[in-house]
Amino acid sequence: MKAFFSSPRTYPQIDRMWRQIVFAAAFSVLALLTLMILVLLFGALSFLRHHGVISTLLGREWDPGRGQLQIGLFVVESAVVAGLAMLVAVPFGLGVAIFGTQVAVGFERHGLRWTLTIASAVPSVAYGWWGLAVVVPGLRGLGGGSGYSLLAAGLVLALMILPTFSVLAMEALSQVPEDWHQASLALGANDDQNLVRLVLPASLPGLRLAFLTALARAVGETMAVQMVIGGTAARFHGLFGPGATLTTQILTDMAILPNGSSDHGVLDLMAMVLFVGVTAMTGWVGYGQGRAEK
Amino acid sequence: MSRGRTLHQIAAVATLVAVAALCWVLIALARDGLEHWHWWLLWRYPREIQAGGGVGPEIVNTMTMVSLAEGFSLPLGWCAAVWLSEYVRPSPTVRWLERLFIGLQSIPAIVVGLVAFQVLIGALHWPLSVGTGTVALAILNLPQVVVFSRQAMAGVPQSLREGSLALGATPFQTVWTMVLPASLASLVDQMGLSWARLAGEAALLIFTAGLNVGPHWGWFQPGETLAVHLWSVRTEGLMPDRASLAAETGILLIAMTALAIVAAKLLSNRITRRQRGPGRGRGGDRE
Repeated sequence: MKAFFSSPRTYPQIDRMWRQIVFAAAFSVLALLTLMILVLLFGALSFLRHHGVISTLLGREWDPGRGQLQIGLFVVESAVVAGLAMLVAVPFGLGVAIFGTQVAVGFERHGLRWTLTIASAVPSVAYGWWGLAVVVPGLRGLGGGSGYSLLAAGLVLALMILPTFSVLAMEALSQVPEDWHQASLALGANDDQNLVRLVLPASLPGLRLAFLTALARAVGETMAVQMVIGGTAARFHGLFGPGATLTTQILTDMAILPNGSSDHGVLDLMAMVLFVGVTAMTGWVGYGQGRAEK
Repeated sequence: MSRGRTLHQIAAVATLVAVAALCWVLIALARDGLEHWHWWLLWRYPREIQAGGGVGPEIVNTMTMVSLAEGFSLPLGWCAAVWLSEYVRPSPTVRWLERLFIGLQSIPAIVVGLVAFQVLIGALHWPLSVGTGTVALAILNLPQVVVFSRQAMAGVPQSLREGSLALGATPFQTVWTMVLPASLASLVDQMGLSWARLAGEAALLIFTAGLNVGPHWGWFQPGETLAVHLWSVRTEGLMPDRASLAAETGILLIAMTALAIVAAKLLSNRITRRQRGPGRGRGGDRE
């Protein structure tokens, strides 16, 4: 074995093998992911063949028992929950990023970075647990009702995506070259002017990446939302009322519409909507980056 | 306070609020979990309706399933990343491919779970089991590994590659003795993060690995993990001590994920220091 690896005569042989191995790996990764997309697409399309496209995507009637399968309500509530989460998380996350890159030094900066890294790896079920223990009772006292609501889901999600957004935003802000800071300050800008006129505009592409990554995470999250949203698919109950998003409804209806049942395809359709939405969001970032590099 | 720093002060306050909220989660969990902490939690079997159940099998399942999933997806993802970064010539197709991977990186876990449910359980008739969950986890992990490793390898200066090739090294030797060691620190870092992410994953395991454990570990035994256990205890548990049990499970889970991240970070720092060699001072330690 040792001779095989160390003899110059076998170098080309090893090299050829290696190239075949990495090509096979890349090919099989691609094949696996393509297969996954095809399975979803097949399920979704065969469902749509028997149901109208427009009415399924925009309608709000959901009653699997009576064969009414329109997913519009879940799309709307997914958007509402994710929008709420972003509305809360982005200002705070931006604050954290500004503090972490422009103000904090030494211990503060180091500690902040570690806190965010650990917090971004806290499992979503733990945030869900916190939502059940703190947010739901709090909202019950505040707004009446059960406390299980879209608002609760939005708040829990906001906290969950806050570390992700902050870390990426910090990275974006710290990319601004030191020379530019010095030039701006030398021209007489005070710290706030430096921030608003130089740092934020200069790191806009990175901030966009942070925003869309966090948004994708918020839209795709299942557990934390499922634990606090209440799971009602009947109609829109307002912010303080219960609801259901695309992700939570897939989880709930897995039992009602098992493999092989005629309406199982609607789950594929919901997954497809999620998948296309999220991939388009983050893929668009990749597109922006590719253009910026050119 | 000096003038013209109003926004920075607002940012500091926002940071304080944000960090306090994040600590609130950890502290609330720690308070509820450590109040009734019992060490037998670590080895006892779970109980359905009585108090006093543990999470021993869940710990074993989490460790083995995540490690197996990593063992499958990391080498495959690394090799795919090597192909993307070292072998393929840039072209519009390849750029689209990379964009697709970047997009797939944040694919919702529940979508992967649904496909695994349909293919492995529906078509291949696997049971709700450790094996099904492991495969689903590995597939969830793949796009992220490819993108991260690709970025780590892109961080290696092109001049080093040219130097290696100019000295007569084959592409394999270049990758094996130069690119891989040079990007090792970030690869190790990434390993810790993805380990933590998979260990905390619950959405896709609920209907691929199941909500209970078998009498012993096995590929086709039901494979509930800690994260799934926390969810099922907290939302539909029947045992009287469910509140504290959920918090204890949460503490355990967070400790495991934090440990994975910190260990990987320390290891990668050590690798960086080793590679930089002695006598270069501490200057490089700054960010």
